[in-house]
Amino acid sequence: MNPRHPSRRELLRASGAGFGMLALAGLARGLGLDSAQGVLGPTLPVRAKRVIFLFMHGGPSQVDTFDYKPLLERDHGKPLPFEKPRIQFAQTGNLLKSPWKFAQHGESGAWVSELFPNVARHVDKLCIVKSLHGTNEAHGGALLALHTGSATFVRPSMGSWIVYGLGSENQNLPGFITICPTLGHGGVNNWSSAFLPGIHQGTPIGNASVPAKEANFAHLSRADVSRELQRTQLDLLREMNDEHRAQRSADAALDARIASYELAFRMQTEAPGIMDLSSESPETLKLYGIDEKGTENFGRQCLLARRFAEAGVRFIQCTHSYKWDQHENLEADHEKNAREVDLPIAGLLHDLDARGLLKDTLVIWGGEFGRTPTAQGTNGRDHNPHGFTMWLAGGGTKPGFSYGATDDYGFFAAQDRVHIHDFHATLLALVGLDHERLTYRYAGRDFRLTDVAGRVVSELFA
Amino acid sequence: MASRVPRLPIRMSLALGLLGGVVASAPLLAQDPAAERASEADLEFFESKVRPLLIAQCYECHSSSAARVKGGLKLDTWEDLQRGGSSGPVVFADDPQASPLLAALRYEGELQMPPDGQLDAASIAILEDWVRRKTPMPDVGVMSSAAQTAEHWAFQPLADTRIPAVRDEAWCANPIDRFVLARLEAAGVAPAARADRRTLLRRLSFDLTGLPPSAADLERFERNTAADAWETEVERLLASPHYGERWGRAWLDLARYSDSNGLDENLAMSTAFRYRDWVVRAFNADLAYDQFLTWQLAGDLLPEPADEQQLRDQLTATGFLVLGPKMLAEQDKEKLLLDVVDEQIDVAFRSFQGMTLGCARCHDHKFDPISQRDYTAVAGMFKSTQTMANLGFVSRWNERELAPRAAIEARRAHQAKLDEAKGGLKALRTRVESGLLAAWTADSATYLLAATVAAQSSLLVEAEDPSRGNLIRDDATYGTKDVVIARTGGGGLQFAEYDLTFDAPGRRALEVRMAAEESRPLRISLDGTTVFESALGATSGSWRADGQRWHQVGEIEVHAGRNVLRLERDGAMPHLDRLLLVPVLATSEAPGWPVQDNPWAAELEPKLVRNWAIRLESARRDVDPIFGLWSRFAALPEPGFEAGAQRLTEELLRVREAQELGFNPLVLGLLDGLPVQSLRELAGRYQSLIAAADAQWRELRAAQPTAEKLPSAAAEALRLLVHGDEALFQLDASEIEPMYAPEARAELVSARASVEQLERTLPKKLDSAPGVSEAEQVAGLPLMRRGNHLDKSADSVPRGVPRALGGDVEAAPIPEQQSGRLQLAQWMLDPRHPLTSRVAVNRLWQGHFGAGLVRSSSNFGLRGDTPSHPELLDWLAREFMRGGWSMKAMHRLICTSSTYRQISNVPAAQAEVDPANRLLAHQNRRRLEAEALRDALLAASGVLDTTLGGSLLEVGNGDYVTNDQSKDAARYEAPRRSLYLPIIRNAMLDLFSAFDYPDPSVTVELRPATTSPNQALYLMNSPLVLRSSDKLAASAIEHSTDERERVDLLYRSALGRAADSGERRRALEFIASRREPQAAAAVHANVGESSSVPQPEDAARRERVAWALFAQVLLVSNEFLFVD
Repeated sequence: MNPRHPSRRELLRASGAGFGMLALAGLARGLGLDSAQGVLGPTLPVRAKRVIFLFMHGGPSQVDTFDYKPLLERDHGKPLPFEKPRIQFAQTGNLLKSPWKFAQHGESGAWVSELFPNVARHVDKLCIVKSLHGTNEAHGGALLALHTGSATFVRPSMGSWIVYGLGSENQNLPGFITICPTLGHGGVNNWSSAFLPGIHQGTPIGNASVPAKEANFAHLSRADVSRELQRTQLDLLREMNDEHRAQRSADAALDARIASYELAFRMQTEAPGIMDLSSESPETLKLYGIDEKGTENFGRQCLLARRFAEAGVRFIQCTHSYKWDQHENLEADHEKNAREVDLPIAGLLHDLDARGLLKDTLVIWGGEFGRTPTAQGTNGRDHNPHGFTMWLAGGGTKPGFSYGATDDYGFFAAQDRVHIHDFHATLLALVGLDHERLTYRYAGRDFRLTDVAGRVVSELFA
Repeated sequence: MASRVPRLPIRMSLALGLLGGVVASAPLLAQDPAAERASEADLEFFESKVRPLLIAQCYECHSSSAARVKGGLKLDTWEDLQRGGSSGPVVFADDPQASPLLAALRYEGELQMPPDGQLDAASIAILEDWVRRKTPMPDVGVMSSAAQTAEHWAFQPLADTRIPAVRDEAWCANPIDRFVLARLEAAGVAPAARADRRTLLRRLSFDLTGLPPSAADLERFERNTAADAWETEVERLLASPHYGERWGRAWLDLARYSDSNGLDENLAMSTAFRYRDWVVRAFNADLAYDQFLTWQLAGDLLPEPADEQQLRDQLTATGFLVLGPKMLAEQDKEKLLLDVVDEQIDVAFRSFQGMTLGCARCHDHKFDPISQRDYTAVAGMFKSTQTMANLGFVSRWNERELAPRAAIEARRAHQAKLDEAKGGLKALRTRVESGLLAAWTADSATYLLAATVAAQSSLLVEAEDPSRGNLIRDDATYGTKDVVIARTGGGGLQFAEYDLTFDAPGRRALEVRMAAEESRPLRISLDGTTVFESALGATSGSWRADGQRWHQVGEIEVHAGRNVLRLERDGAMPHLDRLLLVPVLATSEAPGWPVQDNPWAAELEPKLVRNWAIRLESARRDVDPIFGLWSRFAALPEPGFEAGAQRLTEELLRVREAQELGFNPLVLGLLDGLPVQSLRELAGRYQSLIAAADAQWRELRAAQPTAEKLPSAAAEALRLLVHGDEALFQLDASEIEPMYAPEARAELVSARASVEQLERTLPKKLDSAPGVSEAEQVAGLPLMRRGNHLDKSADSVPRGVPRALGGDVEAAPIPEQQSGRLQLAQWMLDPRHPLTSRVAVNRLWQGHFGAGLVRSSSNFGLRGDTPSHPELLDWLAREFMRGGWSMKAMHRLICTSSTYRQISNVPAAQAEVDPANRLLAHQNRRRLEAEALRDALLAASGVLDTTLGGSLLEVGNGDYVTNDQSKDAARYEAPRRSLYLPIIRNAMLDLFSAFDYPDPSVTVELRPATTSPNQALYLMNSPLVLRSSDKLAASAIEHSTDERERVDLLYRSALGRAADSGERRRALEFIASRREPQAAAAVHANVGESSSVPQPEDAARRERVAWALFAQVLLVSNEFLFVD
């Protein structure tokens, strides 16, 4: 893979057999011991050093948020003037105009609906892609496709691929963290490393049924004894393991195990500090909406994401879980959902920018698909994988820029279409990885995040 | 082209090829392998850029997989390119730019390709680049060059190998050792020494049973001086029921066993455990491997055996084909079916054949001799197999009832009779009750008037406004803007008290409106005296407003003045909306609503009056589109009613346009025409309106029996008064039956008796398990371009086996009406089949050495590993079949070899020459697998429950285990062997995911053994480890007051050996220092609050913690975690 380190490639290839060498290699790679660059290292210019993915589970409506469609308003109540997709999740009726007003914002003059008044203030930081499309019309398949590139088989998550490619910047924290992820619709498969070494799997903090306030790493510490006492315990363990080790021939697995306790102890020291938001000023808490009931939960997720980004975690995902699925009650529920995330996201964008982090931190906002411009019932929209919007910010993307377009009504991606595979190719390119060269040999085949497809949408690069 | 190949011969060879023979190109290629011709980068370029284009754009007509190769041109291999087509070569290696291929792509000449439209510029640029690079592509294209395939070791017949001679005869315990030693001697490497007895027995115990040896086992073996002491231990462990658990689990990795579907809809497969238990039993009974294989692929197609248990097993075994993860909510149902087939092929061929057939779904296999046609032939067999029970919105997998066909049919026939009887009963009720309903509807006006009087004497209380209590007012989560409800928080005592004031004493019927998804019975007391110990335990299917129903509690006796009604529960309460207290007259015989002294109620059913009164009582308080208007008029004072009614009518008509009142438009229409003269007269208008809606409904249903509602929302709302779930004329069965006419009652009694009789005699529900049957439609599948089912060839490929894998073994013809799975199994099991037995013995070998003789144990193809000891592999494979496919015989052979019994230290000489230990000059040290780790922790702490079989998943079959609210219904507390813990896709137990348990969605041939800080954290802090340490410490403390004996017990329990004197001293020092006050102070007071470690008091507690801290060090040490 990387011409500078051919021997490690071989090592990893051999690792399928599961011997000690893998253990050490995996440990070193996952914890960034090898070098700050990770083992494979970037092969393309590095625009973003880390990624924060703000995942809107359920499928936010593009035509009610960032994809303004005047004709939809004009032709409200009329039938869609072209054919609907072959497979639909549910039956929809005629065109349904957006209940929200759109206005242009910032110097870029991008249209944003009144659902996102706070994000709209940062619109000149956004790189809005309005022509996303995928294939799967059900949540499970679409979530898996978005996170792993495959809606059919279990494949490594994009975060796992990135950590596999780049390693972690922090020796004491996992490289891929997912905050309050959903256990439904693919669950752990959305952050699993599948056939990549297990060290690259996402580390969950709580899950979507746990409030962010209570979410934490599993087994990070024990409550009943002090750290000092545990240290003496580990010292004794070290002594015994060293004796055990000395009676045996060289064995990397034994060495790695001994080292892993030391690393875990350091992680145990570092992680609680990051999880503890009490050191943040009241202004910062307010900025993220943590002082308000409605925005508190996602606000915490966003602030944690910033803190993990600062600490050198490569890929951080925040999940606003399964709220955006408005088959009915679009008006009230989309409004409520947007209110819960709008201020926290604006806070995150502002804060990253103010700290100089936005330039090399890629922020991504989006759901597993969008929604139909046609009505389901009287006040709902169905799933729509055929055309939807995501936006990127920072991390070397072009600010104040819009790319691609859907048709006049926002149903199908029409111009400069960006498939999920293209999105993945672009994501990898932004962090310095060539999606065609980031491969892993499994079951006799070299696998990629982008399967055999994917185009890097370099138009999005600043 | 490499430079040493001269230019001329290429064209010459092409020319020769065109003239009539292709022989000339073969020797040329043999001298010029792809590796020399093209760089790694070139080949990568081809694989990533060019091949996808060829597949997408060219192979439909120009590939060996094409239905008809056009123009004689194939583009599968480099050879093909050089050969060209009927109009000559398509590329010129010496002058790439002039290649006819490029002209055709650029649409420059007459020949334009592809014919149906020029490629986009980017694609053309890629192909130009490819030609410019001199068309690098691997020699092995489709069918790797025939020669290569023909020579590949795995497709050769099993060699009849001779057992080699060795110099050191004495070292060899059986023929395995001769094969191994012969190679070692040739390489000049000596085998490692034999391991000591403790190491050996620990290794063997974990290997064969997944459990550590007990102290008694170790002692017995160390003392046994008999020559066959080792063989005795091997036999003992092979006979242990835990053998099947350990080796069954290894098979379950391959079978991607799981208790839930995973992927998109994570439904519980609550009967899958029967497959798991069968696998365990099959190993324990040493079921011959040929049967083991056949039952899993085709157990349903064998003749029904007389032994019923065997029949159950054969059907259960086919669960192998059903257990895969499925996209149940995929709405393209044909794609769903084809994905299921693909998954089955992948798992079946990787596990039984060591072949990756799945690769050939979209195009011919790149390396192995499997064409897309072969894939499609096999896919036809599985498509002709029923794996899915239905293709509903969220589809369901197939389950088989595990019983003889006759028993299944008998039960089905009985069930049909029962259904028919139930249908008859239902029809009878509908007939009688619709008569009653019609009569009551005709009395609507009287009911309305009677209820108005009745409502005036009742008391309605909003549950969310108690006088005292810890209820939560909820108008968002479970309540709504319109329906505010009362609910409670989590644990502890929850209560609500209502101060109720009555003018006079008397009996009151208490009714409560609430929603309850699960039963949460309450205690109800009045003025401190319990009146109902357990009331309101009913469920309504939901916690939300739509699940609210009225429930009768019973009667209470109130006194004049203030009464305190208290509802309480230890734990969460149902979601309460309203309480209603209705006077019951002392003279009334029937409890419920009073009709005496009610001028309107003389002839009416009291219970219906109740229904109406409750509704009217609500209408007085809330917006009620239908009876809100009535309430307004009913509130007018009796004297001067007409004038009041006139004013009210005018007011209402004034605001009608604005629709501010939220009234049903038809109800508002009642005010049109003549002024309202009296309540009685208005009641008449209501009655006509209800009757009209009812009549409209009857008409609609007559015309359209499946209609579910009236088209007009306003009329539908009125219809629901009569027919809805909560219709005003709705009564429980027990309430309505006494109203039947005598003949109808007799009929009812008799019909019900026959239903009950049939229910009583219905044979017990048959056990079921995931399993397959033959599909209704048995047929081959068409080829699908790029695997796309929307792009099919016209003809279908006949079902069949991938012949190239079977050497010269022919499959039996597949009968027209059968899927062919049985013939597939028989073909695999032909003794001359080169893969089946090799793959199987290699797996057994892998289980004992941590690596197979072929390391890629599920890939024996051209890209897989080559065997380290090919002769040994073949000898074992033949031995396996000679022994009747007995797996235990193979274990016996392997475990009694000297090779197996070597120490695991690496001899210095070998480290350099053979770092991967392919020569087997020592054993391989292995880390405990996730299950063995947990089982060993439980065993060391003395709590392991070794019960065999059964399910620990308490979720209904097909219910969600993890849902979209991220709730996980699986429980993992039982101290059973890890094998029996629920395996939930999408939400694995943290222990499993931390310790490399395989992803249960895919077939896994060998688990990795990674080392991560997550594992260390788990060992340092998880409740499992802390609990085990504490338990182990407790048993040591109990064992003896002598601290040295305690230390010995800890060492023996955890590590299977005594501590030496230095270790003992160190342990005692550690424990003593943990007891010192300053160390003890570091033990926080909140021990046990978050974990489940119990809380002994003070000194005793400090003592126990000190010992537990030490016990933990032993339990997480490398000596515990690794098997030498």
